[in-house]
Parts: sequence; C-alpha cells; structure tokens
Amino acid sequence: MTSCTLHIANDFSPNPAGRYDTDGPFSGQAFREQLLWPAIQKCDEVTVDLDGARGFGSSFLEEAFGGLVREHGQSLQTLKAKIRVKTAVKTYESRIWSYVSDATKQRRR
Amino acid sequence: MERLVADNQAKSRHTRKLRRKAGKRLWSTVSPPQRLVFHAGKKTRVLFERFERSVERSLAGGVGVVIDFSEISRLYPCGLLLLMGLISDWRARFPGMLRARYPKDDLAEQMLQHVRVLQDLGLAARKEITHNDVNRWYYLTGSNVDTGPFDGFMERVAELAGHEAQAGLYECISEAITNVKHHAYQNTEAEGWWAFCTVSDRKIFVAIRDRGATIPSTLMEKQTTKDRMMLRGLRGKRADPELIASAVGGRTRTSLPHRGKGLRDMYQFTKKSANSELGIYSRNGYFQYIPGRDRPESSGMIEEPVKGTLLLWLINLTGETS
Repeated sequence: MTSCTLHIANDFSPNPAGRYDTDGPFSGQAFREQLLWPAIQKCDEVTVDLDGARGFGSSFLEEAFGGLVREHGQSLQTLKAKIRVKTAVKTYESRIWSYVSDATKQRRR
Repeated sequence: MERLVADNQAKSRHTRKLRRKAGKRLWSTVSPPQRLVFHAGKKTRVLFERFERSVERSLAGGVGVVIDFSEISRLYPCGLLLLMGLISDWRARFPGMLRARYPKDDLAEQMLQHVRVLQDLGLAARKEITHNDVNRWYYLTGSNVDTGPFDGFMERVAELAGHEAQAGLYECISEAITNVKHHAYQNTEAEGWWAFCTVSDRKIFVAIRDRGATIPSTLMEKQTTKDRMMLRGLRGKRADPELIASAVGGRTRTSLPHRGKGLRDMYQFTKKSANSELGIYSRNGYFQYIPGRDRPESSGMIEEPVKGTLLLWLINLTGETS
C-alpha cells in the first residue's frame, strides 16, 4: 500500500486563500489540481497536513475538497477511505468532511 | 442687506467669468470633518456626507477643490478608508482638479502621509513617521486573493492573541477578499481592496473596503431576490439594509449551494469572540452587530451611498465590553 503526505504550508503555501485559480496564486482549485488530485490518483492513502499554515477560509477548503466530488467524480466514502486529515484544529477536519458530504448530496439531486 | 448679498454674488459671478476667460481654473476650499469618522453614528455620517457632496458639487461644476486638512484633529480608519476611496475616485474622474493643505496636527499629518493621501494630492512628504499611533497601523492593499500582504500583521496577531485567534482572523480576512474578487468586481475591469489593521494585547481591529459592485446591487441581480423585496414593499435603496442583513445570513448572488459562506463566517466568528463587533456598509445600507445593546443586530439606511463595501471588525481580546 502506497501512502503520500501533503504538507500544505511547506508543499503549497503558508497563505492558502481563495477558491478559483483566477482568485489568486494559492487557491483551493490550485491546491486540488496541482497536488491533491495527483496524490489521490498515485497513492492509496493521502495524509493532508494542515498545520503550519496561517489558516483556511471556507472557500479554499470547500473548493479543494468539495471540488473532488464535483470535478473528479469522487464520493464521500472513497475519499474517507483515502484521505487522512492531520490538524491541531479539529474544526477544520469536520468542516472538510461536511463540505465533501454537501457536495455529494448536491450531486445526487 | 439683500441688495448687498446680490451685489456680492454678482461680483463673484463676474470674477469667475473673468478667470474662466483668462483660462484660469477656479478653486474652492472644502474642509473635511475635524474628526474624520464614519462609523460612529448618524451625526458623524452626516458631516462626512456633507463634505463629500460639497467636493463632488464643485468638481462636477468645473471648479477645482483644495481639501483643507488644516483643522483635522482625529483620523479613524473607517473615515480614512472612505476618504482614500473618494480621493482615488475624484482623481480618476477629475484629473488635476484636487489639491490639499497640510494638517496643523503633527499626528494627522504623519498618518495622511503614511497612507500617501498628501502625496496623491500633490503635497511633499515632509514628516518622518515616528508616532506609535501611526506606526501601529498596517495599511495594506491588493488586487486579488493573495493574503501575503497580511503576513506581518498575522505574525503580530499570533504573538499577542495566540494562534487560534490568528487562524480565525485569517479565515475571515481571506474570505473577505475572496468576496471582493467574486462579487464586487465581477463585471468590471477595476479591482482592488484596501485595509487598515492593528492589534494590541486588548483588541484587534480590521477595516477592509473595496470600490466595486455593492452587496445590494449584486444580490438584486437575481430575479427571485427582486421579487422578494417587491413583495415586502422594499424598492430601490430602501431594500439595501435588508439585502445586507440577508447576505450576512448566507444569501449570495450566485445561489450556488457551495457558495455564500464568506459574510456568514465573519459574522459567526465575531459572535463567538466575546464583545466583538462587526459593521458592514454597502451602497445605502448598513448592518451592525454590537453586543451589549438591547438589539445587538441592527440595520438601517445611510443617506449618501457608499461606493463599494466597507467592513469593520473589532475583535475584543479581553472579553470586556468596548
């Protein structure tokens, strides 16, 4: 079983912000397309380490993780089996899974 | 007496005519309020709006304006951000028609120089910025969702208020400037946001403004919102307070289910931090959350429309009522 770790502050930016590529350099879409989705395709288990970044706005988190459902056809179950969220701020983890869950529900409608 | 006034008016008209004939510009002097503040209440807003109208009227009539800062005694971030937006707008629409006079007050001059207002109005930067009340303010600006300019401020917040408060504030600020990008400048080439921030061991203050499409105007692009306002008998600017309040409750122009979290997140964060305040001004409406009042949430109308949106946060770190 292969596993990868993405440390957002080191591998992407300590200042993640915005939703789309057009918003700015360190958006949720950019993180998903450049790092997260390639890692999911490559590895059986992906650890996303959020610690060390300044913080995460809802636009960034929703587009990075909810976007996996909308843009890459992933489901909540598949993603839960693949992604491990590492963070000292527990609310980030619950928010990420609620965004994924909302995006899944929305796709079903 | 009436005749004297009429004579003077005639003389004044004659002088203006002669100056115009000679190709010389006419100048009028307009003083901003001594306390440059917007958010403090209706009285201060009226004074600010009177100043704005007076400058606008002169410029539109082809008369140049000397903004006389000499009597200014106190500057507040909300007033200063609005003034800077107005000056930028006036300079673009009426090039070469604005000048200024230095403030007598040393602190006021340092501040106006620090944010480049004096230089933009053609005055030399003649002060060394030494005052702590000037240096403690971070003045930041940008045109996209890049929070890099906030680095120094965020580090200071983490030092004084801890990582949790810093992370919460970062979320709100990044969402605020994401909102600017998504909503305010959706249909225009112009863009940009301006911010003033400061932090002490007692409080954090952040003011952000943009000059793009307002919250009410973007919400009213949706037919369902228009219909809802019509049903409630709210037309034109009378709907603005209600529209801003509904944006705080999570309603957005796009109505996409994964959008519209920005203002709601800011509001929730403010409510969670004891005795913290939030003010949102956009076009002719405002929404305020000020705990300790009978009704902490209030909304209402403002006479002169704010061009764009002004957000004001006060995060109280002591838990005491401000």
